[in-house]
Amino acid sequence: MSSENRQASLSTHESLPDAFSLYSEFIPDFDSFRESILKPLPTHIRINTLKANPHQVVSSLGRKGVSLRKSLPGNATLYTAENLVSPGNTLEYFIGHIHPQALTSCLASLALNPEPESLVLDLCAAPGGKTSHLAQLMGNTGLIVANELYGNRHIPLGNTLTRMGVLNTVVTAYQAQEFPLKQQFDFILADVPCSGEGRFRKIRDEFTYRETKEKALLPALQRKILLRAYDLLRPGGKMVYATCTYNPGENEEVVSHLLVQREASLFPITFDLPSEPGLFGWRDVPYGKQVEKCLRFYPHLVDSVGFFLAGIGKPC
Amino acid sequence: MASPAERDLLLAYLEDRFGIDRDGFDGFLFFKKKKSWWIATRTPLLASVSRLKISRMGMKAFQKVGQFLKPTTRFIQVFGSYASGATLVIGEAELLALQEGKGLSLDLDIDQGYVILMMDENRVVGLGLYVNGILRSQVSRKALKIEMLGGEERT
Repeated sequence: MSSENRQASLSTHESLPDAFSLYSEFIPDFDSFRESILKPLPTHIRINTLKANPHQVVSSLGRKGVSLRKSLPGNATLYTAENLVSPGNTLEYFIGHIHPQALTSCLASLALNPEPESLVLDLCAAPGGKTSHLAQLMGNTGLIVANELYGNRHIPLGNTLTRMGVLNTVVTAYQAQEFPLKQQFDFILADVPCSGEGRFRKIRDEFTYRETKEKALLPALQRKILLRAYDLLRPGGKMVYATCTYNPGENEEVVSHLLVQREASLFPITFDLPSEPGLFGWRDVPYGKQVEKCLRFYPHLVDSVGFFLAGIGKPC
Repeated sequence: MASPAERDLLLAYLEDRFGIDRDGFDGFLFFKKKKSWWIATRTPLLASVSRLKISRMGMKAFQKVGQFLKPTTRFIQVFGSYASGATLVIGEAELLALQEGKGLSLDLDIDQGYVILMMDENRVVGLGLYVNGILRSQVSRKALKIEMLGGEERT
């Protein structure tokens, strides 16, 4: 099927995945949302300050006719590059000056904002975009443990870290939910496996979204991972739970489960971008008022991948 | 971890060949893995994760090729901008020719050996090998593809 035909086949409300139609109950301006996921995702890049000066990268890409627009007010490293079709096919990519990464995906590392010289755990690290962003924010100081269970994903993870000039990282291969409780971390990123609904428009040319049995099992896995992540956090430490899905069962419900099981608290995350707060509940399942501090990003509001973020703290 | 003698060998090479100040590596440690040396940030935090099973750490910095040390492309991309010698600024047409496998006939005031290839002082591409007046690229053609160079293909 051609891309045009595929777009036509998805251009009615009825042909959207059923799960998305259910979300009309809480996604604001659902018609705009529906339209947005049928449009191509604009190219977004992060400039890697471990190897490059943002001003110089903007200049060198500009000389090649690439038009860059700042995507997050006040941040000099994140840009939308609408006329750059294949950022991976540039010299700047090869020399590690840029990394193609969705805007909302970049927000996870920014929300965690690890301090230099700290000990950081990235529980589900491949393919390494967020890990390298964490290293960038830490100025290659301290130590990141980049964990990835699957051996075949260690290759792209290693390639990303090497290309981006990351030197403060070790790689492990534990199941995230069973990561050894031998050491507590100052900062933890739990960017967990999810149904990926937020990436739907990005991948729609590759396959049609459909519900699977595996996806039904995700919330249980996500709960286990988040509980383990919390137990690995030192008192006073911070962690971020992130998914690229709209499904409350993988988002607020998982966070709510943690809040019931542990004495965790949520901290507010603020970006100068349009977002929605976490849902208090959905379909007769209450999540509690605290989840209001979570953030939901929708593609029709930020022109990026749909994303969910929760900032979680552990009392001292 | 690399022994003091091995570390000195690596840093002396970088200093002698490229004029990279060895003091710049005080914050990093080198360790040997078969025929290669790797580099990582030096931090006391490494001790705290010593009970974890680590599959990879830092970045490969050097490979031993026969009797010689060869810095990796990625290592040179990070530290090459600190070099004061054996560097060569090339244009996109020259880089294209090199990545097509051509040798460039050049009269350089540089001893035979590895040369750091840069597009300008901010954009370090990797290494070339200068022997008998001919410069050849040491940058993998699979990694730096022809289509990454030139203007039309990108946008």
